[in-house]
Amino acid sequence: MSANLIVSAISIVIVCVGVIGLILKRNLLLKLLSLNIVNTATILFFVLIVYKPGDRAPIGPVTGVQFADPLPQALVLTSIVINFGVLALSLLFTMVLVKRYHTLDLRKIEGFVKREFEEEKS
Amino acid sequence: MISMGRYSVSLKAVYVVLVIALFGGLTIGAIVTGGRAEVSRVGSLYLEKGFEFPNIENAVFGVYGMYRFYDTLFELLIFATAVLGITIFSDLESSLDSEKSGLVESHVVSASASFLYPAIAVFGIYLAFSAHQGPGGGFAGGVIGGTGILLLALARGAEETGRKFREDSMKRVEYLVLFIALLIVVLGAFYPDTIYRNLPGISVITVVNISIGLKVFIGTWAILHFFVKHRGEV
Amino acid sequence: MIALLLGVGAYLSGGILSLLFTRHRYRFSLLSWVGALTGISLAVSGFLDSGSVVRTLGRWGILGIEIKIDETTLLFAGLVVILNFFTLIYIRGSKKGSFYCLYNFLLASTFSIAFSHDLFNLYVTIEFMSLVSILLIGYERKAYQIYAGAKYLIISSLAMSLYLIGLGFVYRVGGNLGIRELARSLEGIEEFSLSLGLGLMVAGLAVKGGIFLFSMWLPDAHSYSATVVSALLSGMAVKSGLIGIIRLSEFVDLCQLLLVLGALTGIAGGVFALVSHRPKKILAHSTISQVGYILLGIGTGTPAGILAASLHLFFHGLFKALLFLSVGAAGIGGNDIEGVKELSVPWTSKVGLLVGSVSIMAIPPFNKYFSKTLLAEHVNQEWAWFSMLVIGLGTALYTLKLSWPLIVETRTNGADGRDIAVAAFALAVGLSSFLAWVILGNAEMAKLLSWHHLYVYLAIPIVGGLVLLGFRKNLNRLTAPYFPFSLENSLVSLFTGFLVIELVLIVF
Repeated sequence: MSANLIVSAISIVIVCVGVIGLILKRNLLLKLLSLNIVNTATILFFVLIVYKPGDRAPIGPVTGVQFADPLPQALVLTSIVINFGVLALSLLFTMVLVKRYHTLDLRKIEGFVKREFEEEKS
Repeated sequence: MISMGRYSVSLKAVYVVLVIALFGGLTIGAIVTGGRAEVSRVGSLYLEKGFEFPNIENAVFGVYGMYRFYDTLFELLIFATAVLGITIFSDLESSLDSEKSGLVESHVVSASASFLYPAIAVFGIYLAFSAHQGPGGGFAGGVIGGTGILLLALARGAEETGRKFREDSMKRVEYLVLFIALLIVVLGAFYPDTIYRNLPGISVITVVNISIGLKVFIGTWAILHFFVKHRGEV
Repeated sequence: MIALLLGVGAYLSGGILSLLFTRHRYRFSLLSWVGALTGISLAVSGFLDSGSVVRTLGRWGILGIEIKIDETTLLFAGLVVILNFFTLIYIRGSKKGSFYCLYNFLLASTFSIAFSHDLFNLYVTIEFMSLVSILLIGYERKAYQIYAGAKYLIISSLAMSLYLIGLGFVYRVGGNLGIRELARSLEGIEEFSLSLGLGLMVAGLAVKGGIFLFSMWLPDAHSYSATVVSALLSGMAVKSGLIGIIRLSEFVDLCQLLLVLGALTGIAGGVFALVSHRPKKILAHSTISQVGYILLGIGTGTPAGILAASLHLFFHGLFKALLFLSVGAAGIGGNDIEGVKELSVPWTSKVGLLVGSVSIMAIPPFNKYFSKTLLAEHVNQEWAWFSMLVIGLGTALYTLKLSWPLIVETRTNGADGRDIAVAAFALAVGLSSFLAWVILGNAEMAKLLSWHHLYVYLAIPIVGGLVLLGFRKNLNRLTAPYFPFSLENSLVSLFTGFLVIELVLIVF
C-alpha cells in the first residue's frame, strides 16, 4: 500500500478525533479548535487522495515528467480561505456569547439562552 | 453513566465514539479499496493546456486564476463576508483599557518584532506578485503580509498601528478589488484570449494576483486587529 | 450563461454599492432586482428556444465550470427573483446599509446555486450562502440569535467538510467535477468507495437542505431570526441543499434512499410541528416536513417526479415566505399559541395567513394541490404513497393549529404600509397556480383535477379539522423536547443519519 494511502487513512483518523472532540468537549473554545482540526484534516485528505507516487509539483513547463494533479490543489486553496472565514466568524460569535454570559460552558449557555428567550416572549 | 472501577463514562460518549469509529472505519476501507479513473481525467488536461499560455508556469494558478476563476470570485466574496461580519460587530464595547495593559510585556519581543516585520511583509508582497511562476499566489501572500503587520502591531502597539491603517480607505480598496474580480469573471467568460494575453510590461494576470493579495492582506489585518482590540477575560 | 452572470453580477453590485453608499441603498437594491429579472427572462427565453442546455462558463470547454439551465434552474431562480421583490417591498428602506449588502449577497448566492452544475462550484456557493445566512441570523445581536447562528455555523462547517471528503472519493473514481462529464465517466462503475463518497456528499447537502436527522439546527435558526431573514431562509436557502441532491441524482441512482429519507423527514417534521407552541417554530418544523415531499419527488426517479419536486420547491418557497411575513408583520412570531385571544392582528396578515394555510393544506385551486397530486401520480411504491397521506394529515393538523386561533380568535386591526406588501404577496401566491397551468398544460391539469384525486386530497383537511376540534386541548398540553436540538446532539444525529444513508446505499 503506497505511502499516500497510509497518510490519507491517518488524516481520516484525525478527522474522527476532531469530530469526537467537537461533540464531547464542553468548552466552546475547545469545540472550535476541534472544528478547525476537522477542517484542516479534510484538506489534507483531499490533497492526498489523488496523489500518485512519484508526482512532482506542477510548476514549470518541463515535459516528460509526471506531475501531480493541479485541480485538487486549487480547490484546497479555496477551502483554506473558507475555513479561515468560518473560524473568524465563529470566534466572533463565541466572543459575543461569552461577553454576555461570562462562561465558556456550552450547556450553561444553552440553558441561559432558552431562559432568556422564554422571558422575553412572555 | 456506565461505571467500571474508578472511571465512569456517559452512555452518550460511548455511543458517539462507536458511531464515529464506524464512520472512520468505513472511510478508511473506502480509501484502501478504491480505484481511480483512467479515462477522461480533467487533471491531465489542465496540465497539457495550462502550459500553453506563455508566461504561466504554475498549473495550479492556471486552474484557479483562469479556468475556474468563477470559484475564486466566490472565495473572495466569502472572505469579504467574513470581514464584513467583523465590521458589523465592531461597535461592541471593549472592556479593555488598552493603554495600561500592552499587547506584549517584554522588550525582547517588541524589539525582535520590529526588525522582523519588514522582511515578512516584503516576502508576502513577493509571493503575491510571483504566483504564476512559482508556488505562491495572492492568498498566501496576503495572509503572510497581514500576519507581518500583526508583528508590527506587536512591536509598536496595537492602537498606533490601528490608526495608521485607516478603516474607510481600506474598505474602499477592498470593494474595488471585488469589482475588478467580478469584471474579470464576466469579461474573461467572453473574451478569454484578450484578457489573459501577456501584454508588454504588465499583464492582467499580475493585476489579478496583486489585487487578490491586497484584499486578503487588508482583510486579515482587519480581523486580527479586531480580535486584538477586543481581547478580554472570560 | 449571460443570464447567470447578469443576475449574479447585478446582485453583487447592488450589495456592494448599498454598503458603500448607504443613502441610496434601497434604490440600488431595486436596480439589482431589475438586473436579475432581466437575467432570468433571458434564461427563460433561451430555455423556450432550445430546451435544457449544459454549458461551460467561459468557453474553456471541459476545463471550465459547468452550468445547466433546465426547469429546476428556472423555477429556483424565479423563486429567488419573486421573493426578492416582495421582501424588498416589505422592508422598504428600514434597515441599515450592511443589511442590504448581506441581503443582496444571499440572493446572489442562491441565484448562482440555481445554475450550478459542477460539484465544487456547488460547494463554494453553498458555503457562501451559509456564511451570509449566519450573519443575517445573528444580525440583531440578541443572545438567542447569536446562539442559533453559531450552532448553524459549526454544524454547517462540519457538514461541508464531510461533503469535501466525499468529493475526494468521487473525484478519484470519476476524474471530473462537472456533472455531465462525471455521468459519462462513471457509467457502469460500482464500487464501495463511490457509494461511500456519495453518502458523504448527500449527508453534507442534507444538513443544508432541511432533512430530518441532519438539520436539527433549522428550527432554532429559522424561528429566532428576524422576519425577513426567516422568510428568505425557509423559502430559498433551504432549497439549495435540495438542488444539490437533484444534481447528484442526475448521475447516480439515489431513489430508494431518497424515498426513505423523504418519508422519515415528512413525518418527523409534522410531529414536531404539532407539539410546538410558537408560530415561527411551527413554521420552521413545517419546512422540514415539506422537504420530505420534495425528497419523495426526487426519489421517484422520473423526470415528471423531479418536475413535481421542483414545482413543490417553488410553491413552498412562496407560501412559506408568505406565512412568515404575515406572522411577522403582526409581530406575533414568538408568542405562545394559547394566549392569542388578547392580541389584535391586521386584516392583511389574516388574509396572508388564510391564503398560506389553504395553500399548504393542498386545497385546490391553490398551488400546492397541483404539485402534490403530480407527485402522487408518479410515486411507484405503496408505502411511499401512504406516507404522503400521513404527511398530508399532519400538515392539515398543524396548519389548523396555527391558523385557526390566529385568524378567528383574535381581534382585527387596521393595516399600515408594511402590511399592504403582505396583502400583495398573498394575492400573488393565490394566483400562482396559473404557473402550474402554464407549465403542465391543459391535459395534465385536467388529469390532476379528476375526482379520484379530489376525493383524497379534500378529505384530508376535513378529517384533520375534525380531529383537531376534538383533541385540541390535549394537543396544546404537549411540548416539544429540546434535547434533539442542542449542538452536540445535532451532531450525533448527523452521524447516525450518515450511517443510515450508508446502510441504505449498500443494501440497495
